[in-house]
Amino acid sequence: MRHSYLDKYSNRSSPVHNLPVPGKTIAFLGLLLYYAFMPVSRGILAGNLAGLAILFTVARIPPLFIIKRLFVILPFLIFIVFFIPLFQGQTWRVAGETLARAGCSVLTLILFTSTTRFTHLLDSLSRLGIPKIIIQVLSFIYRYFFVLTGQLEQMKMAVRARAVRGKYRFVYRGLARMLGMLIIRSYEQSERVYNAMLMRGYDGWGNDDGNT
Amino acid sequence: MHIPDGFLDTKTLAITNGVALGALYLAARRMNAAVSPSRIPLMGVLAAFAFTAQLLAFPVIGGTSTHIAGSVLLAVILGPYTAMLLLAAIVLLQALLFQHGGVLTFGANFLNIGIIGSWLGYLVYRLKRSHPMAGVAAFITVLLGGLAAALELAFSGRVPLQPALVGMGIAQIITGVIEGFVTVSILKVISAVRPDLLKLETV
Repeated sequence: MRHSYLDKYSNRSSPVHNLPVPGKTIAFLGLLLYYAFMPVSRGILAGNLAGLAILFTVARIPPLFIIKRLFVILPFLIFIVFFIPLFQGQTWRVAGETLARAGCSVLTLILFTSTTRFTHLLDSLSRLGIPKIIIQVLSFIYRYFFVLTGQLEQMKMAVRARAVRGKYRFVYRGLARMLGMLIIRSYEQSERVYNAMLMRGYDGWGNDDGNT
Repeated sequence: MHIPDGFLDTKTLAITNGVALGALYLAARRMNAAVSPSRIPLMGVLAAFAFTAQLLAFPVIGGTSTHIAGSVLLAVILGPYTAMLLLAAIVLLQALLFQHGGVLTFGANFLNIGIIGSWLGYLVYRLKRSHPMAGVAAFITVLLGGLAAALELAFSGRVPLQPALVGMGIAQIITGVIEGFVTVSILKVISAVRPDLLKLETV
């Protein structure tokens, strides 16, 4: 079965991976703020892209992975470009500036998450003052995502094996029921998990040792 | 509609993040007062469910696809404050792990998906606590969430207001119908198999 990865490439080792996480998090947030405000000119843009390219090379992140992830800004870009002829006083410059800011920000985000382990990320998020309850929920999502996608893949395979194809109505009904079963399975799983955790001394708020 | 970083201007970022942090503060305070630790694994696993469910692609005309948000579903099962908190975690994680949305635009995306999805959806659902009403609530929240995104983009001077609202509205009507249909179907499955899941205390 195909397995999904959430923070792909983050468990490797390179000078970028090995940077201390709190510092890296602050630098990352600073960089994002900078991209929101920076004056956009060809020189500045080229400099930033070159810097990011060097960091990606040092971290040995495959270019194809980066390009695939970059596509997420496409729908919004199309949305903006589509309206340019309709927008009085609007020029291509606004679209170009938006592309520059969005492109740099997304690249930074890809660099940060593909070089930082999720558990370390959670640790630095909680140091930044994000409420503990949200950190707890995040760590649950991270753990159970893998269990649930496994179950979802199994159900999809079962549906494929029974050759359910054709009319949209049936596809939708099938997908919706699949999600219905998934939510019940997750609920039952959460009951078992809670009992198991209770037995091991869980008090609901996690421990302070930073382990997730 | 998860807006990536770079698409909103400074004033829009400041306002939306302000609203988001305010709402999260209220939710966290309410949760601390009203929720026992036994709820946390349930909340966590259901959040993982919503997060995973968003990866399931629903085909729309011509090779495009959409996914469900599940915000009304969470609000119906767990209550609006809980749903809001879980959606904050989901929106943040989607931005960090899949680059769906951004870090500085977290406030805007949380407002469109989390606050509108959970609170407004719950208020609509409360008019008549039935499965069809939950479907209607899901439709309304998806539509309004999309319109809010268009409004934020227009307020940032990236798109003209009226055409953007129309364009986004048309796209979100399709997504909203799917969200409504799926929400009703999931609720039906739950009430057939584990009806007790719909009778939990909501916060």
